Amino acid sequence: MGYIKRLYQARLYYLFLLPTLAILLIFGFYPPLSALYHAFTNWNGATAEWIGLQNFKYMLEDSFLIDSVWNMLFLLIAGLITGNAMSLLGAAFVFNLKNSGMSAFFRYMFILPMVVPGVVVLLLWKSLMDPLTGLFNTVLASLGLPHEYGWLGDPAMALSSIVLIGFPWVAGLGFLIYLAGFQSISQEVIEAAKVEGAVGVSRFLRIDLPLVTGQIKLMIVLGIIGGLQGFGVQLVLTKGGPGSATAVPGWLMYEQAFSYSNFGYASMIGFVIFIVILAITFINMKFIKADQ
Amino acid sequence: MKGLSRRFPAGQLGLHLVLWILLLLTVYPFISMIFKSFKNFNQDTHNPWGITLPFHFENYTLAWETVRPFMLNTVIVTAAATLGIVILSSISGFVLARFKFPLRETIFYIIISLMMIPGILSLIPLFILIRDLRLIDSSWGLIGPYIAGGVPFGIFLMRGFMEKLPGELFEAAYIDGASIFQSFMRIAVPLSRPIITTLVILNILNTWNDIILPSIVLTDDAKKTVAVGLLTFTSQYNEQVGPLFAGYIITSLPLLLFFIVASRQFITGMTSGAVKL
Repeated sequence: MGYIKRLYQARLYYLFLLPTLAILLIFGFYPPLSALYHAFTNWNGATAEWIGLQNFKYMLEDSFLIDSVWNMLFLLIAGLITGNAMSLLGAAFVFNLKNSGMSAFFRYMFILPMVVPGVVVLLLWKSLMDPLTGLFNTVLASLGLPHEYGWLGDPAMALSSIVLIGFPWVAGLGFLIYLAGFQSISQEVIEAAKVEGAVGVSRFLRIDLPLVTGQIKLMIVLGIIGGLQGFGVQLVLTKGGPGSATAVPGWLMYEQAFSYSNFGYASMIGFVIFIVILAITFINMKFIKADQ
Repeated sequence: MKGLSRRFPAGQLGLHLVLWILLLLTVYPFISMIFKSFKNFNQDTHNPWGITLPFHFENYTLAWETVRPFMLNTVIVTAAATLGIVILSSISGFVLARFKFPLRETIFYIIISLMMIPGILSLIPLFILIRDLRLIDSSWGLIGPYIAGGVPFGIFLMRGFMEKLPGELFEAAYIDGASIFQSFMRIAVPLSRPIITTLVILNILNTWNDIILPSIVLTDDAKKTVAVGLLTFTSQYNEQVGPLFAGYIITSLPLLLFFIVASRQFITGMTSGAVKL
């Protein structure tokens, strides 16, 4: 009785929360729950028939999908290395400039490209890598080097060409995060290091780098989660091709759903990616965040 | 010479040099995009990546005609979604932060559990739902999902911020006879301006740049947002590189100008998006 009364007394608060809960119910909670159910069905978008683990069995036999996992892992690992190493170095260089005006200038200039819409960046890089008129082949030709590369259009080069996008990979979220990390190192620590004779590279390795390990872990976890489900480059530039040279699981899910109307099978691909992401999130929360 | 070497020791000189090279490599593609946007077909054939005179400003007129509807659609979707996220997140964050009532924590944790759901799991049923609600080619088919996507993190941010506001202000207002809604509008919202700005910028960046949802919700060219519209534009203007690149620049300008005006807030917005996890 007392509980009912307390609920009634709080009716105004529930009323305030109602619009939020309503929109979350429709567009937030319903879709993932529907995906969990439909992953185990043969779903054409209108009728769904329960088929248990059949979709999962198809996945294990789908050679396109298995190849796409390797492509995804290649892009994921290459992306983690290029993105983090260069933005970490860039941030360290900017942080170590003694001239504060120049430091602010470089910081601003490396952040600016991040505001250019992602689609524009991708389309720009597509034209840089154009086999006939692109900047890369033009420059190679003017240097007298071999210049007949197909880049994104060459099955053997396409994956590496995707990695090349954004070269020299300094401007990015990592740059912001690492620079903020360096800037939060207290001046006392830096002074103390100077007294002990740690300057330049030795200070970077002994003081600066250990103090941003939290940021490095964050960027790695973000990179893994983004890399597992991302397919923006495929959607905008390659459509997974040439052939299936750049296909990744997220893209195959998209294709199965929106080109072939295999919504059940596509939901299973999404479901498996979700389970992997969930596992990584838990590992991160239990083991990585805990020791910070 | 001595004074110069004291001001620029070798290490510092090296750092400057490396940073200039990295910066040049980073921005050159964007600068060449500007050069390219002023070229006609002939200039682009003979010198595709350098600067050529005269500038063909008419490329911009032509591009503007094509991208204008995309820009307008994007502004509508972005504004509506951001407004919805800010209103719902701040009201819910306020109620969940400042009042005690049964199930408060349960409701909060159920809402923020949505932050753990990756977009890829929801995408397919979301499309079927939007189709069944007859929202294909409607701005609402984007605005609804964007609001639901942004609100959980918004509530997480707003509740955390509003919990820390001093309680005496609110007690004084209630003694003076203010209603809950008045205390929200007159005290909580004005004091939360920094965090609201962060939320606004974060969501403008997310919605302006999203490509995946518009690519399945919008099929009619007249309804397309910038991100998907540019793809149509690219295939239409395949041969006319000048207007095409002018279009890329025009569609990049709003966020660039916004960044130049409010770079500090922008940086906070971008960084806070990363710690979502």
